[in-house]
Amino acid sequence: MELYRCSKCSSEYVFRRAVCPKCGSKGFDSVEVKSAVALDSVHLIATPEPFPDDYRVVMFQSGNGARGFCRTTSDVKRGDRLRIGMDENGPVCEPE
Amino acid sequence: MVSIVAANFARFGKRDEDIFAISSESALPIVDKFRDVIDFVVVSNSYSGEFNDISGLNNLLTTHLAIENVPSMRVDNTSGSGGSAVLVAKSLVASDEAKNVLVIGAEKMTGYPTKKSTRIIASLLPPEERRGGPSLPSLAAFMTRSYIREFSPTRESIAMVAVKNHHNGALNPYAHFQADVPLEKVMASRIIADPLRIFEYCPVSDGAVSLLVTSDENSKSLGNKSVKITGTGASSGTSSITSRESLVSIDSVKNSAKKAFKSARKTPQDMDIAELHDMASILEIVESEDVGFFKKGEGWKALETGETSIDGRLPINTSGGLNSKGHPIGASGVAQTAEIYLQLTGQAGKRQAKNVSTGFSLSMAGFGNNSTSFVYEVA
Ligand SMILES: [Zn+2]
Repeated sequence: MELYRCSKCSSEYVFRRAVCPKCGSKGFDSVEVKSAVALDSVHLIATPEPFPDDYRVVMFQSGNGARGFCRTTSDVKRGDRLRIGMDENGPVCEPE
Repeated sequence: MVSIVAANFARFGKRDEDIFAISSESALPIVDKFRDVIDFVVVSNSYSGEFNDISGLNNLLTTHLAIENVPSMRVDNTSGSGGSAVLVAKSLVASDEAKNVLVIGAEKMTGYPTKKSTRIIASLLPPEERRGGPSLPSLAAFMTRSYIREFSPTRESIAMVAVKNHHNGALNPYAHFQADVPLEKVMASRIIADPLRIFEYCPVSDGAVSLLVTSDENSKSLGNKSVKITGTGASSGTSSITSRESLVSIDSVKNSAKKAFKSARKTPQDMDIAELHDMASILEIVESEDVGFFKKGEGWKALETGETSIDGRLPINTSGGLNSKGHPIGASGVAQTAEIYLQLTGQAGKRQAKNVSTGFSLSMAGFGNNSTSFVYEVA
């Protein structure tokens, strides 16, 4: 999936902001992240549209500290290393 | 100083009527009595566009109530709309921009599949976070998991929030749920977001509630019982859940409560009663700590000792809370103020707490994206 890296202080974010909250710079480069670590995961049964009915939401952290959510149908546990990709709805992940 | 002199509910729950009928059911008893003096209307509502295909709800409502010449505005701050609306009303009176402000909190959100309403509520998340599939209830599950890891509460103590609040709701004629739920039933109910179960979440509800906010001087001439708003505090944090330092504490809750207590020159320990934003069971516990009622990591113990029950030292969510009274988004924060008003004026019926003269309410937007706290005292 795509991350946004501050062109001045190199902080990385999952979501795009107009201004880097760490250094105030307005320039961002897009970088690809393919792996991350699971901080925790929640088995979600009542899911929102447009997602399927039953999955785990995983809170992940990339090597450079960017955090976000991805979906998986695998049994991901806290501390697991993840491979991150994309499907039509957004980021998905699998244990490495 | 600013006072509340009237509060009136339309029952929360699955209602057949439209948002106009529900809103006027709550507002009319106040409008009938104070029609000639109401000089501003603040409508708290977040999702009339998404759920009801309505914009400009405030003017449509004043027209419906035949007070269309009274200036009005709609306040939208997601789940925290109600607290923001009360803050706006208080500020209008304090600045002398208006003398008697009618606040109407209303939402009509039933009638859609859960998957659709879950999507609408999740639209307050940053778009890139939202694409990863979280719902608001799933964030409470992340919080619960962190809280259990960090503080080792009994799992039952968290579920006891639902037991306590359903008990209170059963005593409140305006609550969505009207029945007690024993602990065993909560613990055996369907999981929504692991580990939290369906009885630990607020339902999707329709509902409305109205208040009249006025100046202290005015409150005497209006003839009703009154309660003063002696402290207010608004605070904001990030919309991004994954950017937060901690999942077991909410900065906007801590800071808004601190501000409110400071402006009232009171402490959390001075409070006799409180309404907190219990969208999920764990939130009541975390907020009760962040507000300062209990030490961090110890709020769960109050559920075991009964300290926060109606007859306890500090009753929390005597109304049934969002958990049992329901959470018609725009109505919820206004309903918290209304409950404290009813309690402090001795009008809370079967759920009346004894010897209460100070109160606190916390209205929270999103998953703590921002918060508004209030301190109230008997006039
Ligand atoms: Zn930067």
